[in-house]
Amino acid sequence: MADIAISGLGKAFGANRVLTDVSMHIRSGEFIAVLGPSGCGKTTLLRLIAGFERPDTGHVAFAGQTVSSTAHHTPPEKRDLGIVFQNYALWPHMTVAENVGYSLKVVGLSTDERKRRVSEALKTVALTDFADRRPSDLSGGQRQRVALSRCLAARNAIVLLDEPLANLDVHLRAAMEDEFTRFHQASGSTMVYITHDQSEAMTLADRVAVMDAGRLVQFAAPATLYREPATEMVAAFIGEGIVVPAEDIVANGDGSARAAVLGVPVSLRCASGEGARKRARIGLHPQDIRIAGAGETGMPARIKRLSYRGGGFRAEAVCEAAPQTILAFDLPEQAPIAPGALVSLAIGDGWVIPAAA
Amino acid sequence: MTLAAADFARERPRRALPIASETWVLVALGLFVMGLSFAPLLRLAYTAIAPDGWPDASRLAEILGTRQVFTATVNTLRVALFSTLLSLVVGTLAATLVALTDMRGKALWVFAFILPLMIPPQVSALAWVQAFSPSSPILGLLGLSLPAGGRHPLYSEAGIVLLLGIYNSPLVFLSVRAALRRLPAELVEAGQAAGASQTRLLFTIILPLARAGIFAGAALAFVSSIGNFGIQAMLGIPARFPTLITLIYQKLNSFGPSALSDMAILAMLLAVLTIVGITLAGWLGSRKDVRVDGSARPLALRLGLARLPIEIVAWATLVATLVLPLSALVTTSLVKGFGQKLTLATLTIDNYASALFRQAAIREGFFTSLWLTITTALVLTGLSIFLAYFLTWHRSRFIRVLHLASELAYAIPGIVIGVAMILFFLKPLPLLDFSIYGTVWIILAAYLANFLALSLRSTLGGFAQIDRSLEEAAQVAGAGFLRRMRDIIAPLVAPAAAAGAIIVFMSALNEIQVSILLVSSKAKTLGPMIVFLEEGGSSTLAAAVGCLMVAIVLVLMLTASAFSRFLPRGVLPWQN
Ligand SMILES: Nc1ncnc2c1ncn2[C@@H]1O[C@H](COP(=O)(O)OP(=O)(O)O)[C@@H](O)[C@H]1O
Ligand SMILES: [Mg+2]
Repeated sequence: MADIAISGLGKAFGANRVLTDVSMHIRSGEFIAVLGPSGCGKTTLLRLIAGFERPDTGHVAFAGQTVSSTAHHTPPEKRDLGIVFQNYALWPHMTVAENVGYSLKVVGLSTDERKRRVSEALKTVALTDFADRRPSDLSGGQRQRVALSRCLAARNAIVLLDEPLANLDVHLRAAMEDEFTRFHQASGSTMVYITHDQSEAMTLADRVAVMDAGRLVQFAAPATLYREPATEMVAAFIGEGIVVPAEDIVANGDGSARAAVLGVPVSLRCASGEGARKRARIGLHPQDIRIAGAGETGMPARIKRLSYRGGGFRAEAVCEAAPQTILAFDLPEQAPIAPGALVSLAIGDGWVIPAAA
Repeated sequence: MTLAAADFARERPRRALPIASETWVLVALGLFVMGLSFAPLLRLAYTAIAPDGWPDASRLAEILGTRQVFTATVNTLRVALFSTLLSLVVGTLAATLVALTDMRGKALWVFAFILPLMIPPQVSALAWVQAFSPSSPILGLLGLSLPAGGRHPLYSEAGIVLLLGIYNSPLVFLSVRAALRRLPAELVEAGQAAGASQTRLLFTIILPLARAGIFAGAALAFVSSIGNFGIQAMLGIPARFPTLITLIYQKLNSFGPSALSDMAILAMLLAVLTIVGITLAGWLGSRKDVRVDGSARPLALRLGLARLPIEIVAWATLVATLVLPLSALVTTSLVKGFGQKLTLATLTIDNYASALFRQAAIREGFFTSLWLTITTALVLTGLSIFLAYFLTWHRSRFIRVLHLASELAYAIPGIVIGVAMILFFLKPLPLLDFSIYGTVWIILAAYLANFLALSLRSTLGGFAQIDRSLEEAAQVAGAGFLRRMRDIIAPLVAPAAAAGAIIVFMSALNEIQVSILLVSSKAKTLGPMIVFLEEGGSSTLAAAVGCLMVAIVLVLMLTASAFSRFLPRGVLPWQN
């Protein structure tokens, strides 16, 4: 088993800075996701870990052994890692069994041992009957499983996956997500899963590293990302987040704070180091917003749009005080509100986004 | 189920080479390409510019200023330009018909249209000469005959232009067809929606958009004409119509004290003309190059009522340019003496028996050519796989220089390579202390230099179809460079590389211009044999050898076609 220590990693292609000062420590056997919008440098990070690219600054170590630095470079073939490529990268001229057993053949394992390990790996992904087929005879989901069993047979301590579900139909994705979880349990490998889909990342990973424009902005458990986003970008990116301005923030010292959001006093959560601030940005989710009850002071807002979401409506409202901010929240099906109506909104919870360092 | 983390992978024994195998391969590739393709050309330039070790402009001016060289240069440019015009018209028409219309029977027509390009030009020339000789068996059959005693109509500038034009039309055809196939169908459909007639569409939208392909095709035809020794020698020498290439050839026969440096200067002149031609066409083709997005769907303009007449004309053209001369060749090869009528009484397979069994020189020529071409094809295929690997996935300035050198050695006329090889290998090799001049080895060296680009192009086409991740997956599976080459990359590019091997094999077997200066009594190849036999008056024997060569070419083309479904489109030029 191997942990991955990445520190100060930087990479530029010509004048294009793709990664800047990325540091993170991935524990042995952990399943982490790297999440970020397309073009933010996720694939480049994976290729640096795999050794296909060399870093401009910083270094990468597996289990304490430096594999990449500006001075030293272990080539990919000596890193003992597995990769599930976006297009699966199955060799078309080999059968499924040959694909799965190739790394064992390269190592020089005996034929018997190889056969045993291959059939074991194929059994785990339920492809035993397909051992003698060619990859071209398989469906997308089956190819994906062959790619997984290739890592399984090799017993790679580290497995990297680059948007493995991007090429699959939506209805196959849920099934494949289960497959990844089972794979992780079976192999115990340290897994780095790259995706731009936040629900995939949140479902699968122990911890999620959120990247933006080549920088690592937050690396934390899914619940932490959701409840305590470190930056506005994370707050907006995760869980249909809404970012609103707030004033006169006063921390209570116990992780809670009071503030005025769009002129209405609300109670919020904040980081332990937080003091008093004149202005801040608040991260909310639709679940934190509701129509104010009788006698409650709410902020006046106009409903712009209602969209049916099965069992209820998603409403989008805009406050006169902050016309750019769209406040999304859920309404029950029986709600007698029409677009254009004026409502009063209450905020039940929110997170004071820490001031930028 | 638990999978214990066996750490075998990290403990596996590995021989740690001090330098990675990639580096060794790169060094070997560099030595090979620079040593065989580039260094001889450098030597040629050096000899041309500084024959006695220092730059000698007066000598250069003296040679280039002679009336003989001036006439040959003008003649060369004339036949190249006029034949290019002919190729341009025929090739563009053919490409338009094939790529854009609903003509029937395209596959067979394309095969037959490309065939002349695959037949050795000296064989084509021989066939044409025999078809139009006063005693022509074919014209006789048609009830036509040319006045006896007059000069042969093809032994003239017009004859050379005609044959070069026909020979190079397929080059223009291939280039224009490729351009037309890339044409986005939307643009044409937009024109149709605007109400333009089909003819108008062709001239105002389609052909202007395919301009780059047309210019590229013209450049290829021009360069190929300048360097076509087979046709220029077979027709030009009897016609006393000197061109640069025949002048170089005749200079070799008049081996004087300054013959070598004279040849070097003429070869340089030929090379410069070629490079100017390529550059000019490249510039013309890239100017206002229109890049448009859209799907390249096949177009099918309806020929309507004109379809049958057009098809008849298209096939009649092939009968006149291919069937007529070839049947003259076959007929001649089957009679005892040149000019005899083919009847049951005169029919004989004597010429074939002579060519294959009795004449030791011809038989040796066959075998020498065979092993030279097979060796060339095999070596170049292996080399190309590695070169194409680096060119596709590890581009560096070094590897691009190698690519350029290989393309240069292919683009300039084969006879220039021949001169360069003589100059480079005349002196004994260092260490080995013997000269390969006059042996088959110098021919092999010239083939390897000249045909590398052909094999490389095809292999590069194969690499373009492989996703890089297939190699990377093998890399993370632990396979080193050579192992990946063997297990993953070679099998995946094998079809394209094999197609390249076949094309190299055919080109090397057909060539005459590279080895014409290099053959000796000890080393004879098949290509020049026809010229020597015809010069020696053995027309029927020459015809038999020519027919055998055409047969070999046909068998190879059909063999390659049988495997075409494994190949990237466009690797086999004769496939529609
Ligand atoms: N080999 C390369 N050469 C030049 N630019 C590259 C290369 N690989 C990636 N890039 C650039 O780096 C940026 C990040 O790419 P990538 O890591 O693929 O992002 P992501 O996987 O997050 O979508 C992009 O702007 C891309 O154009
Ligand atoms: Mg990516």
